[in-house]
Formats: sequence, structure tokens, C-alpha cells
Amino acid sequence: MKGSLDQALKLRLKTMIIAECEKDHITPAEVADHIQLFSEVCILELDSLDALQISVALQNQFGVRLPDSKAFRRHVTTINELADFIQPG
Amino acid sequence: MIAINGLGRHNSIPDQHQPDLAAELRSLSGKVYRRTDHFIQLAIIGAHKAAAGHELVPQTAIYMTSGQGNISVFDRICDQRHVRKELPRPVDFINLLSNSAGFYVAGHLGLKGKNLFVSHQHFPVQMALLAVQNDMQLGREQAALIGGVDEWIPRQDLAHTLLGLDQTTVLGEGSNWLLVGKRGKKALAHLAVTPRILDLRQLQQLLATVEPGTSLAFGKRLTAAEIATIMALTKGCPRYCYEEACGYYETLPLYVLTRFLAAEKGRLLHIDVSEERYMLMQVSTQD
Repeated sequence: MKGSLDQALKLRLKTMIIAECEKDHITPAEVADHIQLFSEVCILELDSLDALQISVALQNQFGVRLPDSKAFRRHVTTINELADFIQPG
Repeated sequence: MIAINGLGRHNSIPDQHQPDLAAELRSLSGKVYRRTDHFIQLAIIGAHKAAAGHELVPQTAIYMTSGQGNISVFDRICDQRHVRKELPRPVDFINLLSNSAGFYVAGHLGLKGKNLFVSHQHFPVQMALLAVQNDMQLGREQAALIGGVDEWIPRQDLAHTLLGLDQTTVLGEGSNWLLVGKRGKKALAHLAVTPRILDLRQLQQLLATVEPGTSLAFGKRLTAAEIATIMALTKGCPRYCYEEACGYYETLPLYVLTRFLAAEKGRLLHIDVSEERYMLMQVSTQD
């Protein structure tokens, strides 16, 4: 199954991002699947240090290595695209 | 000699768990900071209390010291790196830098002056105070916040081992701060640190000159025999007891000073020891 169709995977990703970035006042349900995570319209309001946190958490929890900022920007865009990257189906 | 204008004290003996300092910080200041850990929150709380009610000039310097530093994060990073073979969390890695807590304290209080973390294996508090004293005397600083911060960690066996203490020693945590400035009439007290490390003979010579009525406080590493010897040399000087109120941590001397100044009048001479070397500091509310 493609990651973007796997609700459990997407919930796990959202929960991980919220925990790693200490955005505990936000629930996973509030994070939209199709919104750019690093954009002004995203409820998470993430910054560059959050990107680093997420990158390391992805490696530790999913075994996904994003070696540089280019790779990170390419794959960590929306929850749907990140889920597809982790689980291409 | 420098003037003490403000005091901030946070001291506790946790039991099993680290207290929730994020909640305490929120209730104290209305603020909570993302990416801060227990050690950093501890530092902010103590500094906040010392600064409360004072209008700090932005150039107020920060001198912070700690015996063990951010030990819970250090322990977590060691576990991530060497046991679980994972990368450390970037925020943990950043917060492990000794001056990260000082960065957050400065941000919390809106300070833009010098920000130093003073490390010393034997006398962290005394050396930090000495650094402030020297900078004040040389005119490099007009005002400074000086804090000693040590946290309690649930892994008590590790803490006892790192501190070289018996496993039964009760450990505590604290964040004790002084707001200091140049000598002034409105000061709560004045502080002087003897600017050298003394051997026993030099200590005895200095003790012979202590004014009667000066209270004496002893670092927790002094033995009962050493204390008895010193008390015999300083007749007419009462002992200031604080030991029951706190567990051990390495920056306790700052707790002793702030505790005395919050409730007592007069002079207090604090005597500390490490490996048969001594350091003295004195506060007085009378000068």
C-alpha cells in the first residue's frame, strides 16, 4: 500500500513530528495531509532546527537517511509525500 | 568587594522523579520555552527570581556555573549514541553545550551583555564569583547575574558515582542566583571572595583574623573533625547550619549565601574544601 493511503503510517508520522518539535498543543488531526509542512499556512510553524530534529527522528525511527538539506526538502514536503517516500507501495 | 542587590533561590530534594519545572516556569513567569530541558528550566527559574523586582540594564552580564552541568541530557546522549546506536537528537546535542542555559536566561531576561559559563573541578562557585569580583574591580562590568545550577537525576547511582559520593548521600538540585553590582548603599549585602586557594596552614592564619560574631558555614565535603578544628580556632563565631534543608549538589555554596541573606543579618564566612585545599568567601549585611 502506498504510504499516502496508509492512515496508520500518517498518524505515526504526525505524532512523531509533534513530539520531536515539542508542538504538544497541536493534535495529529489538526495537521493536514496535503499542506506543505514548512510553509506559513501549516499549523505547525516549523523552522530549520525542527527540520534537523525531524531528519534525525526519521533516521532513528524509520531507517530513512536524508543526507543533506536538498534531499530533505525533496522528500519532507507534505505528510502525504513523506509517507510515500517512506512507503512507496 | 561587590554589592549584592538581588537573590534568587530554588532548592529541592526530589524523590524518584524530576519535578515538572516547565509548569513551574509557566506559573512563575507566564512563559514556557520550546526545546528547553530540565537543567535549562532550572537555570531560568533561579535567574528569574533573582531579577524579579529589579530593572536590569541590557548590558548586565551573566556568569553561570555548575558542578555537573546538563547531566540528564548527557546521560541520554550517551545512551542514544553508545547503547541504542542512534544519532543524538539535535536539540539535546545543542543543549549539552555548557552555555545553552545562559543563552535561554539571557533571552528570558532580555540581556545582551557578556554571557559566561565558568567551569572548575574543585570550586565552581568560588571561581565564578571570583571572576565576577575581578571583572567588577577592573571596571569591565557594572552589573551581573551569577548563578549556580545543578540538577537532580533519577539515575542516582550514576549521580553518586560521578560525584564520588557514598550511595546513601541524599542528593538535591538547585538554582541559586545573585544579582550583583558595584558597592552601593542600597545593597542587601556585600560579598568578598578570598582570591586564592589555601592550604591548611594558610587557612589557619586567616581564621585567626576572623571577627568574633561572624557566622561560619561549612561546605558539605568538610569532615566533622575538620569542622571541629576550625570551630576551636574561631571562638566566638557561631556555626550557621543549613545542611538539613538541602541535599548535596556542587553549587550548594550559592544556596548557603542566598539562604543566609534572605533571613539573617550580619557576617557569614563560608569555608569549602576540595582535596585538602580551601577557599573562603564572606558576605556581610553590615558594610
